[in-house]
Amino acid sequence: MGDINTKLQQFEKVKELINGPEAELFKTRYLARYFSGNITFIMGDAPFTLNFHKGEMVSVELGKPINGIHIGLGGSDEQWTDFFRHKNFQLATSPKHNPLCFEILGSPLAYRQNNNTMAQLMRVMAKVMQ
Amino acid sequence: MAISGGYITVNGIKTYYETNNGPKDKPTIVCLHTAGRECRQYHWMMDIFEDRYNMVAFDMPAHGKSWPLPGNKAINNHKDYCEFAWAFIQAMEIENPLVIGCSVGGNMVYYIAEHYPVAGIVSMQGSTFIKALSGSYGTVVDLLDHPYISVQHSHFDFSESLIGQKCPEEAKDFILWGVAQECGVAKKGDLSIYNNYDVRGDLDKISCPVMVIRGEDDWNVPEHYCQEAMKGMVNSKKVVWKPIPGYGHFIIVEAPEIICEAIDDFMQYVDPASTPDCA
Repeated sequence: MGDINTKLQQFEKVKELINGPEAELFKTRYLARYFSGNITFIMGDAPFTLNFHKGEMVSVELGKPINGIHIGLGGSDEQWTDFFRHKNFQLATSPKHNPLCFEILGSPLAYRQNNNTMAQLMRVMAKVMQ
Repeated sequence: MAISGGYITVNGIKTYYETNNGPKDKPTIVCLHTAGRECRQYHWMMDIFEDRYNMVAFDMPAHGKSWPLPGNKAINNHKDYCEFAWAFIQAMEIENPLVIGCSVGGNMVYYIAEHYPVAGIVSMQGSTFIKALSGSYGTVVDLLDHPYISVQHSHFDFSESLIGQKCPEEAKDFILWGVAQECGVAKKGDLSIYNNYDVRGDLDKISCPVMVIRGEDDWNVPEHYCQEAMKGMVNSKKVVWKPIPGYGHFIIVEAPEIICEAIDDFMQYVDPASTPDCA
């Protein structure tokens, strides 16, 4: 899965894509233009928080937000490796069908409201991190 | 003749239906739509079968153009669902139908065949058993009519993830337009029906011919659902298994030509005059 610095570099690459060639799809079809807040991904023991304003990725930081997780997903290295293999967000979050499904973090209401945005962000992450 | 629609009152509910006005010398095909959607999903199949089979599809209460239950409610359990579907069939004076359904409709056809005298059933993307986890799936179902949730937006990616790789773009557009038109109350009712469904104990009551169709790209209906269903139908006159590679959960919209061809083949086992034993 790589070390923390490698992961931070990969998230910077995700930021370039999500604000660049992926921006229109992300903001329009997957509705990220309505999302301002942060998304936390826990990968193994390391939490990474991505900050957004109206669908634009502002920054990535190591750690959880000091005012609590807004929305996010957490999983072991094995779970992330499995997701980067199949790249199906809905399968990755299905306890019914996937014994390696992620733990959903933060507000269930906000998670459901921003389900499409999360899904597309994760697909872009998979492009960079697989 | 083109597809036409109309209303009929079923159990006091003004119910919308459509038909291709096909020939009535063979069993009429009665069609059950997927969760939250409505009978337009069968338009392509109706066109293909226009000169071959009479097809009738209807909107379940609270779906499409059908009225909801009193108090603006939707049906939320499989027994009431199937009782309503059978009441519709009787109100339309259809005898010995072939009942076909997709997704939640594909689940319901098993219960219908266990309890009502049908000439045959076709289950597409269906199962006899859905064990959902209350802490997760249950929460999603509860959020479907939450005032802070747009069901039309929140389930877009989920539906998209179920579509097969070979699905034509125009069919994909229609499927996603279906999400954009969903009603939270209706969807919650359907997924409550879907959730914790289990009719495996009565599968040996099914004596009519059965076809089980699975679009293989549907991750939400794994093949073992179909295999378990087929294993249980020990008294069925004929069980036909039809896996379809490259297509997904909304197979009636994704691949209507393939489904019609499969049903046409299956019809050789469906006797219009027979009324199978049922409980």
